[in-house]
Amino acid sequence: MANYIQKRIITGILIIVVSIVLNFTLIKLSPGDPIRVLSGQDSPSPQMQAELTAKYGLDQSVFMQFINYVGNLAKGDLGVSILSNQPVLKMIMERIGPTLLLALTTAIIALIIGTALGIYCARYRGSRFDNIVSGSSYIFDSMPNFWLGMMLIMIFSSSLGWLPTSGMVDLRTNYTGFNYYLDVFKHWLLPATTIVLVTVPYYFRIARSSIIQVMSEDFITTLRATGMSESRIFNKYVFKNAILPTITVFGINLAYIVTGVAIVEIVFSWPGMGSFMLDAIHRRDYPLLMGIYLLLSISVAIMMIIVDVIYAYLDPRILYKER
Amino acid sequence: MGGGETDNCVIEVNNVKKYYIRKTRKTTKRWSLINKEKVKSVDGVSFTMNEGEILGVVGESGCGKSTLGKVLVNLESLSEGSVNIRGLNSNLSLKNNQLAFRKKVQIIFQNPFDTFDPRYTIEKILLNVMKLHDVGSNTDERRMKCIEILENAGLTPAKDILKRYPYELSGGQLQRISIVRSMLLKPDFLVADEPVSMLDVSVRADIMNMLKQVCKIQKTAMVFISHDLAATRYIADRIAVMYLGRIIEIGSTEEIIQNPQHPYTKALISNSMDLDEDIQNKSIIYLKGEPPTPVNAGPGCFFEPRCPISRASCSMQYPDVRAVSNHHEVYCPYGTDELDN
Ligand SMILES: Nc1ncnc2c1ncn2[C@@H]1O[C@H](COP(=O)(O)OP(=O)(O)OP(=O)(O)O)[C@@H](O)[C@H]1O
Ligand SMILES: [Mg+2]
Repeated sequence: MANYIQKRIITGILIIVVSIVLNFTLIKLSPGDPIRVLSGQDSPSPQMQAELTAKYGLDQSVFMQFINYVGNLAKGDLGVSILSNQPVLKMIMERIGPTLLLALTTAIIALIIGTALGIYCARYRGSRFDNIVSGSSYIFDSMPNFWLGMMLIMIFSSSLGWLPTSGMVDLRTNYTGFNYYLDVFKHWLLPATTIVLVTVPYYFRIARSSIIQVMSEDFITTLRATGMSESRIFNKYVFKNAILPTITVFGINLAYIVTGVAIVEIVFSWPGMGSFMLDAIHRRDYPLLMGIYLLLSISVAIMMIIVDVIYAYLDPRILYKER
Repeated sequence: MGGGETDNCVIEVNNVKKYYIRKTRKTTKRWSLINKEKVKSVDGVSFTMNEGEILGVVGESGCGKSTLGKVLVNLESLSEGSVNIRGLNSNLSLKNNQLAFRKKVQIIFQNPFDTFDPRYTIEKILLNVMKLHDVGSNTDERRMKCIEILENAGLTPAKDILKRYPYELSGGQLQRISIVRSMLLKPDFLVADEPVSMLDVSVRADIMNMLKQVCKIQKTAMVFISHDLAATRYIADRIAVMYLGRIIEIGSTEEIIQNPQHPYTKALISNSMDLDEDIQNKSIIYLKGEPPTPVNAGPGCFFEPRCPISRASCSMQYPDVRAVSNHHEVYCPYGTDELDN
């Protein structure tokens, strides 16, 4: 096992290194003259050009820029945003809180609801409840999340006026304590519902199909033949075997947590990474983009290691194949 | 036939039927209709078995052998009829005390690779069963017993095998473990559903020997399901031949092989290359058509459409049982002499 984990960690580090190189290269290759963007002018004065070039090291060779970048990374310095003139790390840290709040809570809620529905429908396969849930899962799965978000805004904010349309807090008021949390909750409700509704079908279908598959395995029949009770068979054997694919999907979901809900964030003007990233792309804020991508690749690498380790723990065949 | 009235009687099967409802699609010019049809997988099977007796059940694919096996051990509920084990109705015993019933009645499946949860070691698998049925008083005692029975089953070094996972063992080893696991509960009745058909030819004889031996020693009655007549002849005391959910001929092994009375039995034997040459018909009897699915057979003899010697009367009504000898019954009034010419 230790050997296995070690291997995973080395792979993870390799992924991060490769993605640093790739990110840097891709951004350098993308079109657009950063000086023009930086100055905010179509034809900046030569003096301004020189200043900016020196400040951001744009006059050095691409290779030197890369060496500088890596060196700074090692010091925890992700560079300075071209647009806001603030350290990238600090900017990301300010924005990541709301994103994590929205993405983590919805990921967990969708996991629980989807898996519970999947288990229930698998046990009562073919029942009316199963038919309704399975049918709706296809409907929600085929809905684009931004469209669903806008529909919810139209219904619950514009028409009914029950919930706020955008943001995370009401800027016109100055709530504190409980009222503040209630306000955040109200703002959270619609984007969260949107994300949960489009994510639940994944968990639902995976849980349902893998439980049906495991229940039809010979070894489950064998256990039944030994006299074990149905509930024990389900809890101890069916569930643990059937949960593996769900763990994978949840892991992938968490890996992309930083950017996964970006579109919904933009629809609801949620002050997270989504709109921030969109701005960075639009205005070619290289340091900021590199910072976001680096964060993304680190979280992908870490989640990959965690999922692999959980998998190996739950299914010993994986360690066996590895040998 | 067996000994229904003596104390030796382990299992009494009375007119057991198992019907499945199967949905099919019927497409007409405009509509696609969902049709429900009754599949008569097992359609009235009766027999009795004594302690330590081995009954071979043979027949083509789809004739209902596996379904019969599952119904006998109550893994599938029966649609009609009854099964008594040691004089007690199975359905009632299962309801009263499912653990006690499951302990007395065991089943071994065809595919040893799928029989065990891949996430547990052999030790864990065996200990779990022992614990469930209160075999041995503590883990150490149970572990000692595991080692002992594995060694008896030729699985050495037992200590090493116990630590392994199912996928680290061969099919033959796994099937031995299946047998060990079933037999450590000292069942009265055992069903083995094609226990060697997935295994290498080289280990088949060993596994069959092991099964035969352990049944004789523990006085367990076994239904041995197979489509291999030679293997069945080797292991079974009696043979029952099934066709479309019914037994069409049953008798002691040598009588069935040497003196088959049903044209279907005769055809099976003539097609079995592994049997001794003196028994085999000089010419192989080819049957017309595929084995049909058991949906709308009858009203006459189910085999009539494929029978090489059928007569007009055969399609009128299902034939009555005919006793050939004390230990031999057949559901064909005519015998097979015609086929020899
Ligand atoms: N769960 C089920 N639902 C519907 N039909 C079934 C079911 N199980 C079996 N059958 C049908 O019952 C018939 C007998 O099947 P069974 O598996 O008992 O045959 P078998 O003699 O064991 O065949 P084989 O030699 O291929 O194992 C087949 O026609 C099969 O399609
Ligand atoms: Mg079968």
